[in-house]
Amino acid sequence: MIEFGPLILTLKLSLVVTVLLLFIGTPLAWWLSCTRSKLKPFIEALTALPLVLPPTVLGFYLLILFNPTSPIGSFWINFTGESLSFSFFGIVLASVIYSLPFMVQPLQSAFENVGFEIREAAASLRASPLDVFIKIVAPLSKRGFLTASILTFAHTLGEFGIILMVGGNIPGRTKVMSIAIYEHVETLDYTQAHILSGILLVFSFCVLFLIYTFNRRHPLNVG
Amino acid sequence: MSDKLKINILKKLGRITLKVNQSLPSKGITVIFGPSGSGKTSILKLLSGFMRPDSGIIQMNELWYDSKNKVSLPAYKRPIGYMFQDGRLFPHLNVLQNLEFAKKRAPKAIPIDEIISVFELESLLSEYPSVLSGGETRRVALARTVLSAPEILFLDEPLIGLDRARKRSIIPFIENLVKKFDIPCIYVTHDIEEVCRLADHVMLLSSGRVKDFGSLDEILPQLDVATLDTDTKLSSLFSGMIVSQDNEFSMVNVDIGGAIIKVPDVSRRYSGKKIFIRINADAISIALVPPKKISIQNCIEAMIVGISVDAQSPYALVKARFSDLEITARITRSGVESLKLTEGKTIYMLIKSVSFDSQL
Repeated sequence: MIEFGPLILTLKLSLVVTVLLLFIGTPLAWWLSCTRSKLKPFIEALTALPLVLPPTVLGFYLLILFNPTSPIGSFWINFTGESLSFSFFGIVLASVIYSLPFMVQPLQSAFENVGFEIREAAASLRASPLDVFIKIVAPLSKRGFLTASILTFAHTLGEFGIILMVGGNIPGRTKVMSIAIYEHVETLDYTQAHILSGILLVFSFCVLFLIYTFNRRHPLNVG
Repeated sequence: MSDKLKINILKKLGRITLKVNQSLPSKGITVIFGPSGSGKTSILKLLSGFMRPDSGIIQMNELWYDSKNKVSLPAYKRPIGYMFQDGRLFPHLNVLQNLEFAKKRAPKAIPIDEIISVFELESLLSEYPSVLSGGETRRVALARTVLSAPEILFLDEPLIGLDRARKRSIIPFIENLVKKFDIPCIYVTHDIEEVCRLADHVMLLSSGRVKDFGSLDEILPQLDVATLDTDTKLSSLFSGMIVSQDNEFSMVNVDIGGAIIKVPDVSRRYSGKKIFIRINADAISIALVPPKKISIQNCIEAMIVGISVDAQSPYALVKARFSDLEITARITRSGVESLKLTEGKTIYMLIKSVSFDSQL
């Protein structure tokens, strides 16, 4: 008897978070890669914060922020009629923040690797900054996009602490694989824990393996 | 059509301060010449908008930069073309796609087929930049720049890193480009041979300052001295015209500013051809009367316009003028003393050897 609920929920969460972060992380990484603003180190530090903070700390603050009595939490309730904490959207939001560096950092270094030289060349041919990004920088950063997406997806797949803090353990809404496994172990149901852990292990490996193989077979026309 | 490029800018660059106040011609090739570190490339970057001056004005028809009125057109809005040292082709696009990138964004259409044939790129169109040779890369980069229909073209040491044969093969393309498409060029180099071959006008730059500006012929005699480049020997450069040939003795007579100089003709050049000759400052002796019975063939009557003496050195530099040209000789200080050389004195300069400047 395999529970498919947590598996499907986990995949859904990872996919949604990866897509959302592609939209949020790309402009942020692009800005970071070309700005000379004094704000840059501040924003960079803020982006990297989830790498060093324990998920419980981040989760704790988010829990307070999502609380129906807080401005954000109450706005959300008024807007959707649902609580932000212990909801699927709540864990999406938490994961977006928690996985942000995994999207932004590889993208930023990919964009920086393209180099100002090529950007200058494009600008001298009358390409506007957006044009330069779409036609030159983004295609040259294909690998960066792939790496950032894999890392974000895989990182969200394995999330535990922050989801437990913000989402709790509600089947179909917030009960992801890692939490289901934790629950099975707590109740000494090792068979189910084995099955879910095995699925997560094999699945994660297969995704990574496939993508790295693809990456190798289709080298970019660069260099 | 296009106006002069007016520059009056100030920019601090590390140890030197770039200070340029000069109008550049809107026709032909203007070479910015100077030793490395003199700020040549920085001028192009400031003009093109990749770098911002500390203060000043840049204007060509339209105002590109004005610190007082806070005008600063971004690079992509300036009507410029920029050919970088290394070509900077887009690595993910093939040659044709690189060309089309420029064409699509150009304010006026230039027939791509014509450019492809002018730059002889027919066989390279589907290649990617990574497989192109150095010379091919420069040709594609030049073609791409022309396709963007610039009103002025900046060339930043476009031949650097190429061997002589390659350089020789690219130069006609650059000459052609100026003639055929009538685009004024600002050309940065520290290679005297490129200056001689390509320049219409020369701006001499030294430690961020314009030392001189003028036509090639005006600037030529002081090129070597001006750069104070320790690598090259002190010598004077002249452009001249071959007026006659002496086949029996394999010599040619070259007219430089009215004076005729006999030069050994190694390669059998033809009369009427413009050539460059170099006279080493150490190959000149000075006499007060025209000497007779001497093996030296070339003797120029000239007037001393300057003597620079360094008390630390046994040598002195004597600068003399004939016609409109200046020539520099290096003789000993004791020689200056015993001949009682002073400014304004007429002397005879005996030139022991003359070399054709290596031709590109």
